[in-house]
This record gives sequence, C-alpha cells and structure tokens, in this order.
Amino acid sequence: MMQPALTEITMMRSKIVNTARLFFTTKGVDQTTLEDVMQALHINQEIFRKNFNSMDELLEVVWSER
Amino acid sequence: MVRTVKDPAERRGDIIAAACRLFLEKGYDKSTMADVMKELHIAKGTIYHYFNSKEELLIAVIDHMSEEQLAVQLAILENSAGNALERFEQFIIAGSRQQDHETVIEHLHKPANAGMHMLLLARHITVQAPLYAGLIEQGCREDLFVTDRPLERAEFILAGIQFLTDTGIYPWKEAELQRRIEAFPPMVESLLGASPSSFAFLLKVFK
Repeated sequence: MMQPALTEITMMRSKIVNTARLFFTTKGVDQTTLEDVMQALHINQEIFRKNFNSMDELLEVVWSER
Repeated sequence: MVRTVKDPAERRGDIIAAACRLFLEKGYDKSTMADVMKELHIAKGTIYHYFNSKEELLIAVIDHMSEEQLAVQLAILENSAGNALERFEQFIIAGSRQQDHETVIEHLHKPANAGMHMLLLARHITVQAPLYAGLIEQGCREDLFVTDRPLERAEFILAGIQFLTDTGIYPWKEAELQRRIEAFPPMVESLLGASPSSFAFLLKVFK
C-alpha cells in the first residue's frame, strides 16, 4: 500500500485539530462528538485513527498546542 | 465521575494551584490536561471551560506566582524604615533571604520549563518595578538620587540584574559571574545619580 506523503498527514492532522477547536469553543467539549469532526471534514474513522487514537487524545492536543 | 458544584472562582483557583504544582514537578511541556484532571477529579470539559488552552493556564499560574511574591515583597517594604538608601538595603537584603522559592527556581531551570521561566522573570520585573520606583522617588526627594524616570530606571536595573545573574540563562563560570556582580553597584549608582559606593551593599546580597 502506498503511504501518503508526510505533508499530507500533517495537513490532515492540523485540519482535524482546527476543526475540533472550533467545535469545542462553539458547542462545548462535552457536546462535541467524533461524528461532528468527521462530518465537517468529510473523513472516515480510518483517517481519523491515523492521526489520533481517541477524542480524548484530540482534546489534549487541541488544548496544549497553540 | 461525581459532579460537585463549586463556586467558579474557587474552582478556577483549584485548577491554578494544581497546575502550579504539576508544572513545577513534571515540567510545563510534559504536563497534560489529563494530569490536571486526575489531580482534581474533574472532567476534561471543566478545565477547558476555564482555560481554553494550556498556555492560558500557564499565564494564570505565572500571575498567581508573581502575586504571591508581590505580597511578600510589599510586606518587607512596609517594614523597612529610614532614608531611601537604608530602605533599599533592608528591602533588598530581606528580599534575597526569601529563598523558599529556591526549589521553584531549580525546576524552572529545567529545559522543559524554559518558556515558563522567561514569562515569570518578565512578570516579576513588571510587577516589582513599581516598588523599587517608589523608593527611587523617595531618594529623589531626599536628594540622594537624581533621575527623571524612576519606573523605567527601576525596570532597566531589575531586568539587567535578573537576566545577567540567572545562570539558567547565562551559564557563567564562577569568575565570570563574579565580574558581572562587582560591576552592578557602580552601574546602579550612575543610573540613579547616586553617590559612589552608596549601593555597595548589593555585593552582600550575592555572597
């Protein structure tokens, strides 16, 4: 299987982070689901999992990266 | 997880206190939201609600630390008496004995805490400069000093001494550091228009 280019991975990662941050600040952390993030970006679980193991991990990254 | 209803200001204070301990023990970079959560038994959303980012929490921790320090300094200043030079000496010597934050400084010198260290130094200078400026103004009234900008001179002196003697920032060898320290009194005297040797007591602080 062909590996996606490294820049593609980091771009997707930061897209996920930015989208999640937007949801967290507008909807609230507790109200934001994995579905919300995936739907907004038109991505599936597989792509999400390539970048983050869980919503908890995503929250941690959103919170500590700036 | 049990939800306890707490006063928001109290909750905020709890988060800051826990983060303060955590940042110092583990280092800012290595501390996570999960760590803060575990320490306080609160949900992640709660932390996010109070602090939108780890950096925001860091700023709050720094503010908290410098406020505590300021309270101590103010008490020392109020207890000092005499003319401006006498009060300066009492203030600086008593202040330098407040070494219970020694462990804090040790932690700040870890690379993981570099960002926090810088922020704290900068905050200290801006918070404490007005205290020094007050003494400088007193000295001008007593004709001990001559300067038109007490606050800016205080900031300049504090910044210079704090940064240059911080071996976490400048890894001076003993003799190199000593050379800088010996130069401080005459430099302070000329910045404040004070008479020669009037700030010689500064050397006692660095012993």
